[in-house]
Amino acid sequence: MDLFTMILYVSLLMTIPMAVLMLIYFACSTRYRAKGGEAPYTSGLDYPREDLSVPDVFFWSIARVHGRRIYVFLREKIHNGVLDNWLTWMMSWLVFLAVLVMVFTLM
Amino acid sequence: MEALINGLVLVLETLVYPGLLFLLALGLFGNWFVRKIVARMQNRVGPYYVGFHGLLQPLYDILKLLRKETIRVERVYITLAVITTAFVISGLAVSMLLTPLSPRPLYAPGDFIIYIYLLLLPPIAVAVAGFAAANPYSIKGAARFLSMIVVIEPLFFLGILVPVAAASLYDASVGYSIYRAMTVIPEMWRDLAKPYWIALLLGLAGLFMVNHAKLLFRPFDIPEAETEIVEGPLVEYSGAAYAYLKLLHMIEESVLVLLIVMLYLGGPYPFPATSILGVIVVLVKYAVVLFIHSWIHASTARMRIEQAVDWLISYPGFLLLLSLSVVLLTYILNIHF
Repeated sequence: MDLFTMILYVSLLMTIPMAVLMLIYFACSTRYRAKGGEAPYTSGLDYPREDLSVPDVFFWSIARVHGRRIYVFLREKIHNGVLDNWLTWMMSWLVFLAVLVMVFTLM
Repeated sequence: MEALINGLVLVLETLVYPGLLFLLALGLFGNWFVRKIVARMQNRVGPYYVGFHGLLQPLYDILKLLRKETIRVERVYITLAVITTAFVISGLAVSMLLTPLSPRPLYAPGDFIIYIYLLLLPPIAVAVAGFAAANPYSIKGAARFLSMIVVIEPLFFLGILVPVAAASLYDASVGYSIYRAMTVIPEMWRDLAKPYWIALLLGLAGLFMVNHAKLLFRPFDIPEAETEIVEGPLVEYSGAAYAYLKLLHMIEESVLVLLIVMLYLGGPYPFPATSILGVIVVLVKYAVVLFIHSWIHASTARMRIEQAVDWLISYPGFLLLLSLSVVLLTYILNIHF
């Protein structure tokens, strides 16, 4: 078997358990559905009400709050302005890539 | 006719053994085992009432969740999370067909890339589940999870690449196939003249640590941290959706522990993988690896996210890079001397 045929097999086979699992889920969720017309529970109270009402605005709201943390994390951990740390980081990646390239080319 | 039978066998393998049903049974057993071991280490009884010494407790929990109503929460896209979870569980079930546990395995040169792809899927489901809910705890948990995954996944990739590359350099017929690598590795452990076994030893330690973090055992349970962010990404899920997310975790646990057993610990050696004795050997090794995970889980306290990231880069990262260097050096020295 070659790699591309195998990818095809794997992709096709993945649909079978997925179909079984989705059938079980829909059978369970329709049978044990919440009864009555009660209002859904409210969540996401950390975000402004107007942001929650529009999906696009809501996701930008998340990005504003958490994107800043990721930015700070990247700046603090990966590049903190100290040239020496930056050099260590870049060198470690370079060595990693060089090792990978050598493993594959030496074959 | 033959093609039809082959197709049916593959479908059966995917759904029953070593696919979905086998992983489900192993995952439920693993969940019981970890709970029992951790409970004993903390002077508790653990699961006890359902089945022999509570053996059926995880199954009972899942069935109970499946029968509960799914509470609809504002701005939580439950179906999206369930579809992704089902997709990922299917990927894990199919990944077992690429290992020697499968009576009729699928393999091709270079197929370890497919295997890695299938095993890299679970974090996507957890992240989608986390970001699909508008709850701040959920999003905080998912963000923490992604921060850890940025470090964990390259190391996990390295942990699989090392033994596969070593096996392919040791025996050219392996050709970067995960199935062939798993069958050749017991031979490499015994061949002490070539130092590939040193690489395997270092890789084993590295991948074990990475798996421990990937499975969110303590001290790496930062994204779910019950006492702090009430189970993070899973906080808004209930009923069948929650059952699926729990099942995903159990199945991922069994696949990753089996990965260590099959790829590093020789799998069913000295018996064939498809024999009863072979399967028993695999299960014993599975229990031993899970016992060590439980031991560490029971005896450590949670790290902070930056401590965990630093630790993962420093220790498993170092070990795995070292093991890759050993593989490479062994190969170069063998060629030139």
